[in-house]
Amino acid sequence: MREITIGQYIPGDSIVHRLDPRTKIIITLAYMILLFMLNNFYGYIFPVGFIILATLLSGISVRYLLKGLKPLIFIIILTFLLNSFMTKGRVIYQLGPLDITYEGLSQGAFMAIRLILLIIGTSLLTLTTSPISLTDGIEVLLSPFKKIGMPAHELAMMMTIALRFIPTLLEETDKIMKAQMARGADFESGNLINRAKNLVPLLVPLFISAFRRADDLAMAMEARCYHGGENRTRMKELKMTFLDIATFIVFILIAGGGIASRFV
Amino acid sequence: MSIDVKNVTHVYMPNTPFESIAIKDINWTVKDGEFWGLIGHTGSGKSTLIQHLNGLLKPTSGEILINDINIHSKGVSLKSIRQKVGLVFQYPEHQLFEETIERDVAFGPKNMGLAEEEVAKRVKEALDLVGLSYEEVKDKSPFELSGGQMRRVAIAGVLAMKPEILILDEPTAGLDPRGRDEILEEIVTLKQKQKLTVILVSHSMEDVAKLVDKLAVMYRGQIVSQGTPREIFQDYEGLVEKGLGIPQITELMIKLKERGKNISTDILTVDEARAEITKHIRRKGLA
Repeated sequence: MREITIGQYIPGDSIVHRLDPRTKIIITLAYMILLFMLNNFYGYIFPVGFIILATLLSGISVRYLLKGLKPLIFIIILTFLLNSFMTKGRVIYQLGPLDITYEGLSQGAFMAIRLILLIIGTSLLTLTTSPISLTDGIEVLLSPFKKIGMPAHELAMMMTIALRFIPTLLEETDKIMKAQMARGADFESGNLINRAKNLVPLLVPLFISAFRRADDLAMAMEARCYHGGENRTRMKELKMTFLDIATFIVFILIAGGGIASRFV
Repeated sequence: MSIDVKNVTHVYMPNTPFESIAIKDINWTVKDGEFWGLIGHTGSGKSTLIQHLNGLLKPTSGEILINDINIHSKGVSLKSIRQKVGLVFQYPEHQLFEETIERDVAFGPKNMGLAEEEVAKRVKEALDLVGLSYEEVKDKSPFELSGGQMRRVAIAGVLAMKPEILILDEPTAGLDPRGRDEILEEIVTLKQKQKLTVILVSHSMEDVAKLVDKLAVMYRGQIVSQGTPREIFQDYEGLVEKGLGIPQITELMIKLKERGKNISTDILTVDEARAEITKHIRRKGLA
């Protein structure tokens, strides 16, 4: 349970850590769009190169980054298989009623690569950006939409709180799970229906404690006179530096290369 | 039942940047029928250690022997270990989930696969043991009870499995003085009635001084000293250095001695202190 690495922040002082969160968010978004724009395998050299460069600069161990893929391997394989079987085209191999096609395989491989790059890219963002600066960045990026009624501050605050409580809730889950296991509960064996039933002793206490925590938090915030984003100043103002501009230029070059590869 | 902890080390999240050694090379023997206290500062590894005793955590290295059998060897069912080694977590009332108290207490015995009559019998016994009236509370929701009562229900939930070793992780945390005394008293009676081996994790030096036969002190993931409370509490400075203390009454006696009074500091309770001080005054009066 505790070993989930997605969304975890590893403090550090690398170039990637020091980038403005807005830069990182915008580039991650653009990177995601780029991944889905590429239409041939050569094009993926660009995002792969970009990710390798960013990982090296961030000082995060490659093994740790790849470990983040582990819980999602099932989804990646499923996507690959579904695409391989469901796409019509030149049949390579027949497996009972299912046809594996050339187009399917290449489509499946595409999707798998995209997913893997997507996960690595986004985890790199959260691994190098503290949740607070991440939501600060989102808040600033969303603030232009305030004029059309988008509650940017409230959204950011909600995200901060949600992120803040992920580890707490995981810890709580771990604790309750162990307490019930000490009473002979079994969360690991049995068929799907039984397993779902076995989760009741875990979920009920978990929800109760989550509500209690929410209540306490609301009270604590009110006690410190929190009343939304109006006129709220911040301790750390976000600032773009030369480093951010350089990063944008590098990314634009790479993305340009990727887009150009579409026409090869 | 006896527990042998041999060279046990546990590392959380190994091979990640968050790797941390929770306990290091622990050696500890709990013999049948003993009443142990386990004290240590927050984060000293107490909770990690006790979760090894019923196989909830697997040691990174070292072994846990229960009745001389390694609990992680092949063919040992962890479920039966967990039945024999009952573990009551901190704030156990946070684990309650059933609609009625009867069903919640029955959760453990049911998981053991006992027949319904046996389960019902055990639920009744367990609730009796913690001083709750079965007839009165069985159909109530656990959430209607006060904090102290909820905690009893949770403890009953573990007792209903009839463990031979009972481990309690700070059973009195967050209770008022009366609730605290009641729970501790019940633990003592339980121990005598059921001939249990008990391990009590506590922050309160007064509680352990009053109750336990033996005491283990944990500091930064290691057991740094073990012995009777009298032996342990003689090392006032060492304990303070480890973020712990000694019972107030023992501290008082040590302070008196520092001021030149010729009295023994081997005192754990107020009654003992009164006797010792009276003796001292009489002696002085005669001189």
